Amino acid sequence: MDRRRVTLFLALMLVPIGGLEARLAYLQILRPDDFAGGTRRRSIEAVAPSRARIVDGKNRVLARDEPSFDLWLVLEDFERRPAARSELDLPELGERIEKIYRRIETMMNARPERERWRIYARERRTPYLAIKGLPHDKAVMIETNLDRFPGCLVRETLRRVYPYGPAGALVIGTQGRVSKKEADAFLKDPAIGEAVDGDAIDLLSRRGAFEEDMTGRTGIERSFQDRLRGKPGLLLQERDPATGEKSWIELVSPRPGEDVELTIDIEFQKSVEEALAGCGTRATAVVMESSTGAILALATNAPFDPNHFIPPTDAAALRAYFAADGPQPLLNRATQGQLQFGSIFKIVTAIAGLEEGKITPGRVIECRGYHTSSSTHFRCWTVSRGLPPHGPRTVASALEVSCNCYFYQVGQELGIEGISKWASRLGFGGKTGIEVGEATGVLPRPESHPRWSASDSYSLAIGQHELAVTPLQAVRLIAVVANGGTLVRPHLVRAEEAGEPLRISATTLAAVREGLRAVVHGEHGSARDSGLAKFDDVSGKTSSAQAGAGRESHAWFGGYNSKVAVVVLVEHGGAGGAAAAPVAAKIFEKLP
Amino acid sequence: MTIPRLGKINLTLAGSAMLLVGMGLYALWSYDQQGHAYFKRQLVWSAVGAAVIVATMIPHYRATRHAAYPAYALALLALVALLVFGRYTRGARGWFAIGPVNVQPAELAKIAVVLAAARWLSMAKDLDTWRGLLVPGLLVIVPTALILMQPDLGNAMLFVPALLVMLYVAGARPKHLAVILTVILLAAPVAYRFGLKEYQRNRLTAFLWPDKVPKDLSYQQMLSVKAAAAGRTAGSDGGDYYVPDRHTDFVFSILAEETGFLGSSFLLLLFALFFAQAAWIASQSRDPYARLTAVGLLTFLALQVFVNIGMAVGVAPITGLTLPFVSYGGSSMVSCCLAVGLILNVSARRVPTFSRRDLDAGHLAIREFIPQPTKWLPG
Repeated sequence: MDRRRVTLFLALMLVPIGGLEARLAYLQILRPDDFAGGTRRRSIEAVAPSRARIVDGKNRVLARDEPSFDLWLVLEDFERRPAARSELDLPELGERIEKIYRRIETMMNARPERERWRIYARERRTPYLAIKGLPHDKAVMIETNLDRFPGCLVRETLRRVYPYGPAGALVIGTQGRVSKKEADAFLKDPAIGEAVDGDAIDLLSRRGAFEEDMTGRTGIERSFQDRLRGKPGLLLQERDPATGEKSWIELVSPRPGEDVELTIDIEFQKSVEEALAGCGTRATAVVMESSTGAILALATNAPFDPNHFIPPTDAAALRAYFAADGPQPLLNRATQGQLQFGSIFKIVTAIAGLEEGKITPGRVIECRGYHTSSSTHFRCWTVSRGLPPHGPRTVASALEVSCNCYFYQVGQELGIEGISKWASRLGFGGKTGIEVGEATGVLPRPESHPRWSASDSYSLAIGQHELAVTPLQAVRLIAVVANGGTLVRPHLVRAEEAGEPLRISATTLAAVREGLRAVVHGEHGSARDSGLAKFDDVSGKTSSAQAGAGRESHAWFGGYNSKVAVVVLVEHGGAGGAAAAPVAAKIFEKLP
Repeated sequence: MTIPRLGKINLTLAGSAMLLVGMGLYALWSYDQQGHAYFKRQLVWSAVGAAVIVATMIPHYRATRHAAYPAYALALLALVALLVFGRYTRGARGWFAIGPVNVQPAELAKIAVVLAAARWLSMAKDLDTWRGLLVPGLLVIVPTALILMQPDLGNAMLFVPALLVMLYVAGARPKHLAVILTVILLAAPVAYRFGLKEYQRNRLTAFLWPDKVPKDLSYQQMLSVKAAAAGRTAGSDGGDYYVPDRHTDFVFSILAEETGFLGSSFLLLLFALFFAQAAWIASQSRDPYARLTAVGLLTFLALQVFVNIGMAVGVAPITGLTLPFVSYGGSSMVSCCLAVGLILNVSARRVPTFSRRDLDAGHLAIREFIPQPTKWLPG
């Protein structure tokens, strides 16, 4: 044991003390300015852009964002006063707080154990969005009693409002809360990617940026989601720990969405909806400008209010909207309903026959009640009603009385090739190109039916067989007749575009138009007693499409005047002339 | 059992420790302006610490020699129990909650290990051989491993250096110690890769290569350095920086910010004085057990001071070690006071060493010990 060793040890120990002293001298005397200052705590916040408006053809606002209140909670402070929760009396609050805790737990579990408490503490000091669309009285209560509601932050935000309520709701559409995926996708905007690195975006995502946002779920709100919503922004928040003073720098400014202008006329839309009242929930009407394809009104008779989908939501109302056995108001029957079409399809057969040269406007075919003497299956509708057969008919007069036998004959001569060629040209069996979700319907084609027989042609010629069409396809057909042979794209958002000329000859059109005029104005016209006859320029065609054994037929009416084409469908409504045509009469009455 | 007379208490050591506690109290006073809750609680702990010092000084330090091995066994038991029953707080099992008090077995294990090692080394005859280093090595590695499992890297890494210093003072061959040190340094990168938890690696990485880790890992340390720099020469008003854990691990940053270079230099001076005095006591003690105890305790305290202050000024990694006497917390205070009490005990009861030089100089104090020849009268 050596005393010198202790001394040496002591000397060695003074070395680090000297080192620390030197470091302190450097830090505090030589270079304090290099180290001190600039310790502003930074955090980033995602900023939602303001959602644009939806306006109608006359610039009336159908959907807009309006100031509203959100409740944000700083949990650490909020839970310091347990009574605050019951005093707020917000039914969803408990569940929402649970959700915030689950989110914090997820963040903690992603970190090493040692750091979890810190994340927990930090996140409990971070404001989280708890309630969207806080009722005004609650907002006032919190703001005026801040000490009673610690940790409650009322922030002013925007809330979607549909001033016309149920009117036009089917077209305008609805919103729903975004999914996690949608919220993240919104964060992954290239402009944000340029401003900050992936870690920052991850943090925003874990904190739930945009997760309480709404996104378009149906209608135009959905189809034009990106355009309406705009692009998100980023705020860099800097907090000076000395003073608690906060400042914001806009890293990426949010780009607001662009307004969408519809072709709909909301007042007219309202009258169309009124015209449908009393037809049962499964009734549809479409009114389209026949020369352009601009849709002026599109309605079903199952009203719903898109405001119910915006938090605070009306749970009972939503349950009714989504009930499987209910009227399913969110189903756009005009674009998504695929139904048996029946006699209106005879217009297609007529055009095909005339254009393919199988018939001429003057060719006469005699209706004897039955198409062939050998079979009683293909008969005219007069037989079952005990009426005399139609006798000799031209194409126009056959259309007037909707003679089956005439079109059996034309169908036989055209075959599936002829019929489906023209049906396809006229837009059946395919999408129309409207902006909202639509079905294609069903059109039998030669390639899908290799074993096609003549009797199949008879059925198809009068709009039966497998044929299924959407009301939108029907209105497009009517528009072709009305506008002189141009296939237009039905559209809801204002657009300038020319249709596709089908090069249908004038004689063909004249013959069909003559027939359709007679349906409304002729002595034997099926829509004669519907109230349409008083409109001199209105022509049309009814249809009572067999809709399964033991059920009422689908009642259709498709008609036009010089300006618009109208289709009315009352599912299982019975005879087209009795159930659908009177509705069309009311619609023509209200035309702007 | 005799209470040492007041005059025998080393006032430099006791005084510097008291001043350090005082500076800690000042830091806590200004840290928590409203209510001074930390200050008040620390005041209570200071009183407890003083009682601990007095209690430690009553028995002769040799009594601790008999208690060394049982204390060591008890410490190991506590460390194992902690791993089995301990509850995780802040991601580690470092505490036992006994009533309102948190007991940190690692703090007490430091003292027990020093006593046990001092006892073994003071008796060992073969410290100049490799064989002789085996038992002391085991004595230290077992508690080190148990503390690492908590996991508490900061406290665990103090043990081996403390042992090396004790071995050196006990007379082990410097060549052997140099070899051991080299092996440890070479093994460090391997341990870094495989032995450390991710957060521990991150802390070291944050220190060694600050650019390579996410910002928030070194954030605490960065703020501490900034706060210290803001103190400048004579201190600032303070409170400009929010440093997490400021009252415990980062207490130095409060003092550096509030008292500036002058105040923090004074603090360093107090520590230097404390260390020098303790080393002097060790060197003056003729009893190898006493000397080794003092050196061992001193090494633990000194390393903790270097690492903690180094961390606060940004020249050492974040380890979670407290600053002896200054940091808030009872466990730290009690264990530091135990150490001071033991060193003071050694000081008060030391048998002075005397060298050839002393004898040659005919030192008065030494003459007292030379028995005077009894007068012999013929007849």
